[in-house]
Amino acid sequence: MTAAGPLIEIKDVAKWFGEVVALSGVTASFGPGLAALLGPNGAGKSSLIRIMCGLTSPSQGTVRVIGRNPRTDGGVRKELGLVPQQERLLPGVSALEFVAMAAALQGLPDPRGAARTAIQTVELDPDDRRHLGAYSKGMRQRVKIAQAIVHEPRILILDEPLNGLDPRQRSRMAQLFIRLGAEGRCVVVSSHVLEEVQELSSTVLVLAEGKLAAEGDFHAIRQLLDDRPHRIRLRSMDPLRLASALMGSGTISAVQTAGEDAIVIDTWSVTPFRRRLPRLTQELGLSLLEMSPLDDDLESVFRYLVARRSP
Amino acid sequence: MISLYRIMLRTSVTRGRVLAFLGAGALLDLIAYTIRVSDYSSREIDVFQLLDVAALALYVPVVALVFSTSSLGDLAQDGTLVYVWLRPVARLKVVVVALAGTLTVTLPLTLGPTWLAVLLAGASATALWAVTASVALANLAYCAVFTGFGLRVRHALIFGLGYVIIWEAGIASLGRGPAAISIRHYAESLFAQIGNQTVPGAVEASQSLSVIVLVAVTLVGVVLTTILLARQDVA
Repeated sequence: MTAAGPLIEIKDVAKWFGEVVALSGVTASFGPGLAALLGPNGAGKSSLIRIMCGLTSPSQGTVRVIGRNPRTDGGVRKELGLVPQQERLLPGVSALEFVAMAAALQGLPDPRGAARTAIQTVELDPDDRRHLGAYSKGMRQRVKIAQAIVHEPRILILDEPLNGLDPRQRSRMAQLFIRLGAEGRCVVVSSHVLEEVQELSSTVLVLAEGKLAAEGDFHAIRQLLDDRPHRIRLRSMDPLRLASALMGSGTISAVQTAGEDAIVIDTWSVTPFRRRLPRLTQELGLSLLEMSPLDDDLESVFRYLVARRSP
Repeated sequence: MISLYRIMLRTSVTRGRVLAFLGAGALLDLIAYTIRVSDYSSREIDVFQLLDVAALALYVPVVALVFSTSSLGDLAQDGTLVYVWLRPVARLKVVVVALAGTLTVTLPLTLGPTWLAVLLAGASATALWAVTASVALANLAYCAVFTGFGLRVRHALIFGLGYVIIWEAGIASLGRGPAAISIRHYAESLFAQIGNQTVPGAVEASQSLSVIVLVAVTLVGVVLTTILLARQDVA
């Protein structure tokens, strides 16, 4: 991946739970720097992260972290920090006690000092004596980040770390991840929000339905997401005339009726189509009652990418 | 390790649990006191039977069950085990710390009421020593077994209660065969041997064999829990 070589290597990894396939044939690598793992909920991101951290074994394939098996080699855990997705934190402890425990278990010489620094890094108050149960979701999320960075790990894996944060906190935490990546650490951030990934990283792996759907530079991924057939529903007073005119304009590839006053069109060039449509309706003297994209949700986009990549 | 110990302690110790068992212990003491005021010749025998049936067969295993299944088990169930598991700490250390945390609560909760019961019933110092040794070793064995059980089994408390009531307090009393594979009966045997009493249905193992079995069960429990923890699928 880089001159320094990959710190995490995933080869042909699959994971299934009974009949359910969570991951299938995933091969990827992560080196120093920030990379994003993008995919809708249920795409297999958390399963892949758990396998990368050794929290569970792959049903098939191999994972190496710093050349070692993270499931069996305890040495890997010295180099690893994880922000898990689940919200629950240990009960009955303050943020300082929780993060200091993490620091102590990592074998740091001054656990409380390291914990104070990590808590301040995520912009919380280390002297806040309240138990974690009294914290807001955003605060708990930042405590999770603090316990993951307290030992300054070479590899930092964050499963949806920006969930529950307000826009300002999101931006501050994103800057933190970018800085940690720029320091040469391997930082892997998972997200199901495209805009979040855009802010974080230029390197993106798209995971959908348990498969690696795409990988590469964010702009190339964005291009892939845009260069696909779009399906749009249009309602007008005279849908057949509109359909005929659209076919003649060359901006759509297919059209079908959808009830008495609607048509559904397919287009590969959504921007020219959007530009042409208002002029066309004006020329025809038609009023457009409704225009609704039918497949603009991220999941359908990911499904398209998977289908496109499948042999 | 101290911070982990404190976390383990806080995870399993709740005010409700402690109060419930203090109440149960007080009931045991009340019965012991009634034996004293009844003032008849077989008082010592009755105290032994009370401690055998109420304490060794039920109270001790249930206290151990409730606190030890929750030490690692609650962390595994609510998804917070990851904060311990993903640290470069030997699994054996984690299990030993979890066991130490559990014993910190279960030993006072079981020894306190049973000591008081012996004193209230006016039994001999021998009875006090017998109850101390048997309750302490039974605690060790039960806690070691139930810590792994809680880690591995969903609804461990319910299944564990079934085990305690059906096997330890029930079937294991029916004969030497089942008794030979019951923690309760080695604790009971140790109790009877030290106290120079005959406990009905006891396996009649020697004092040294009882100690060896209870310590061995503890060690096997710790080793198995360590293996289970290493192989645990962590959420």
